[in-house]
Amino acid sequence: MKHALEISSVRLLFGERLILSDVYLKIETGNIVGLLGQNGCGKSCLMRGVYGTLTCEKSISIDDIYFFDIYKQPHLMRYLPQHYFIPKWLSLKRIFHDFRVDYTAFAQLFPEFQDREKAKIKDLSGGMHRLVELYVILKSDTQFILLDEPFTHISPVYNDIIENIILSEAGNKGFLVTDHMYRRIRKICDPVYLLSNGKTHLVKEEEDLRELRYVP
Amino acid sequence: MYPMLFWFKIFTMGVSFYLINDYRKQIYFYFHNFGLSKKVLWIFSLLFDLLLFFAMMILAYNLR
Repeated sequence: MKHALEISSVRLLFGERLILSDVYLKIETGNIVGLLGQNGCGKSCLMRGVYGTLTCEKSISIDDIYFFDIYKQPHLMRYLPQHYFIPKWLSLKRIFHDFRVDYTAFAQLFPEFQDREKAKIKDLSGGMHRLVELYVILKSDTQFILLDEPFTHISPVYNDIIENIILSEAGNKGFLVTDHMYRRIRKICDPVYLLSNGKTHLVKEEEDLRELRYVP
Repeated sequence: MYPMLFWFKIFTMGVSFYLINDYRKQIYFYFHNFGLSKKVLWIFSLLFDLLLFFAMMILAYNLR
């Protein structure tokens, strides 16, 4: 059964500065929607507003049921923030247990994690830390996933694996993905939007990105 | 002495709240991914901390 997430009427002001004013996005399970935008245009604010951890005017609904703090329903939505978010003192075993994700399958995909289940996240490199965070969010049992710059800190050799995981999980989940690697976003996402001047613009070709001054 | 200890405890709880909100706020997202709000996290943590403090105070009083 398909589920539909509708994001509309999002309005966010920081003082007198209007960050978001006219945003509409519809994401269905089975879709991967891309969101591009320059630094500081409000991509992370939009995601956090949708998730419910940033107060703003908004209308968020899943299957016509409206939510204000959707983060309180983890079976409906999970969010990968731009920064590290897992407490450093937790072990990989504990993290995978909390998210109910199979560690063995993860270690098979990423062999450097074999026999490291008891390691604490603070013992990992920055890239490995980010890989763990991304994987547990991708594999967690939920309907919609917001990914804020998922490819940051990840080695290029793992980007293809991550892409494949997103594509396979998109079979029964809806994704909203934002990143600066716009060619990769355009490869895996459809549709792709550009957030500019507080509004979302549909991007069909790379020429649209030039016209909207996202690329030179 | 006990009233002074109590108010010092309240003060340190305030300091903890400020420091965590300022330097460790990114960790909230781990708990948000399980449906837990900041309010719930703080209410339960501070309540548990305060109850533990009272238990220790009572124990210390009885052992004096």
